[in-house]
Formats: sequence, structure tokens, C-alpha cells
Amino acid sequence: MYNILNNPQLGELEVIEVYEYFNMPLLFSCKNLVDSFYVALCADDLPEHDMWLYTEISLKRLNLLRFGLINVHDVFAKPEMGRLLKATIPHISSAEFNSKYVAPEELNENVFPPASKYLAPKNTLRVISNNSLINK
Amino acid sequence: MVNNRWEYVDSNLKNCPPGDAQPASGTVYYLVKHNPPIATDFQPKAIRHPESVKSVPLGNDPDTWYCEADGISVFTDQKEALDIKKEFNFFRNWKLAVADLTSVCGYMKKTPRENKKSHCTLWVFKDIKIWDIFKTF
Repeated sequence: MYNILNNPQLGELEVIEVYEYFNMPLLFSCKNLVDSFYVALCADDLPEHDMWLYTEISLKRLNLLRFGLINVHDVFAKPEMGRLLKATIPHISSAEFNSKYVAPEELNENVFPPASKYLAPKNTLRVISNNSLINK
Repeated sequence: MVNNRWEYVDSNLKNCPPGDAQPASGTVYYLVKHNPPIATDFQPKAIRHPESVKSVPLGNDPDTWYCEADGISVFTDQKEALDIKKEFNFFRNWKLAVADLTSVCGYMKKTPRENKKSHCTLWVFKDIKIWDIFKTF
């Protein structure tokens, strides 16, 4: 069954770091089984579903985000791959899960965090042997 | 601690709430979808959507992560609760609620998050209508 950590385009996702949390992760980095990196955003609360956005991100840019050198807004509004994955997750499990790639211009600007939103600087996230990650 | 005292804590979790959690006290802030608040506003995601918290972030202790996911997020700093509303469009129509907690409500622990240092986890006792204690404003 598809959910915020499993969708048809990206597959199963493993959370790397959580940057914002309210009862659940709201903004987090993650990777899939082939070690592609993403940042996920809890973007909208709609009458029948929640909308989540996923942006594929290089490790270099992810570290810029983590260092507080680029804002969260640009990670989603100016994605490296030029597209975002939009997933709509129904409030009731029997309803249809949907996910598709969209250009950021197709979305309401309000779904992105404000340009003033930066992360608190952190250590460098590095890939070490066996594709495991450390943040030192 | 005896897990059947708790509203939502998974009885399979060991040491949850943790031993260093304290009887709830003080003024805390919370975001609710409904006005006035209703019971579902206070259901942890681990109950409603367990898949959303199943992956333990890098470097986190799984027991701690899952236990905190069985509680709810409250803030002692009103500004930090409001920041969630401002930063996430998801919460644009949600309401800020406040409560003066006492020990009859449950246990709580300071669980600061990266950008929200006043974040606490509240584990609510069974038989407490926590939605009646929080008031929107």
C-alpha cells in the first residue's frame, strides 16, 4: 500500500534526517533503494487528501540546505531536476493514492515554505562505504 | 510504567513513556484542525498513519523515536507553534490552541527538535478528554 514513504515513482523511502516535526515528520530528507536523495515536504491539507511534495536532490545541494546556505523554498521552487513529485494521500485508506511529476510552476506558490525558512547549520552529510551515511 | 494507563501508547513499547518524563504541567500550545477541538485532533500519527513514522531517522534510537511518535507534539513557546503555521501551508486553516496542563493530563518530556527547541512530547492518560482542556484562540 502506498503512503508517504512508499510510492510508485520513488519506491520505498528511508528517512535520513527530520528537519521539522509536528506529530510526524513535516520536512525531511530521505533516500530510496538505489540511493537517490529526496527532500519531502508536507505541503497541503485538502478536504479529502494530504498533498506531499518530493524533490530529488544531489548530496551537494542537500548539504547546502543542511548548512543553511540555501533556503527550503528554493529546494522546491527551483528543483535541480526541474520537477517535483506530487503525491496526494487520501484521508481514508480505501480512496485512491495518486502521485505524478509536476513542474513547480504548476503549483500554487503558497505550498512552498517562505523564502525566509532556512535550516539550522549542521555537520556535513557524507556517504561512506556500503552507501551508508554519516553526518560528521 | 503500565502502558494500559495511556490513551495511545503501544503496549509493545518498552519504557514508554520514558522514565524521565514528568507529570504534565504548565502552559503549552498545540495546533488543531477543528474548532472547538475534537478527539481526532489529538490522535498521534503513529495511531492514524503508522507508516508516516515507521522509518527511524539516521542516528535516532528506535525505541525513543517510536515512543515519541505515540505521544503528541506540544510547544511551551507560542511563537514556535505559530511558526509551524507560517512555515507550512498545510496548517494554514488550523487553529492555535492553548492549555494549562496538570498532572491529571498525563506525562510530558522536553523533546526539542532541530528548529523548535520548546517542543515537548505529551503522553495523555486514558479517560482524559484532552480536547476539552485545550482552547483555541
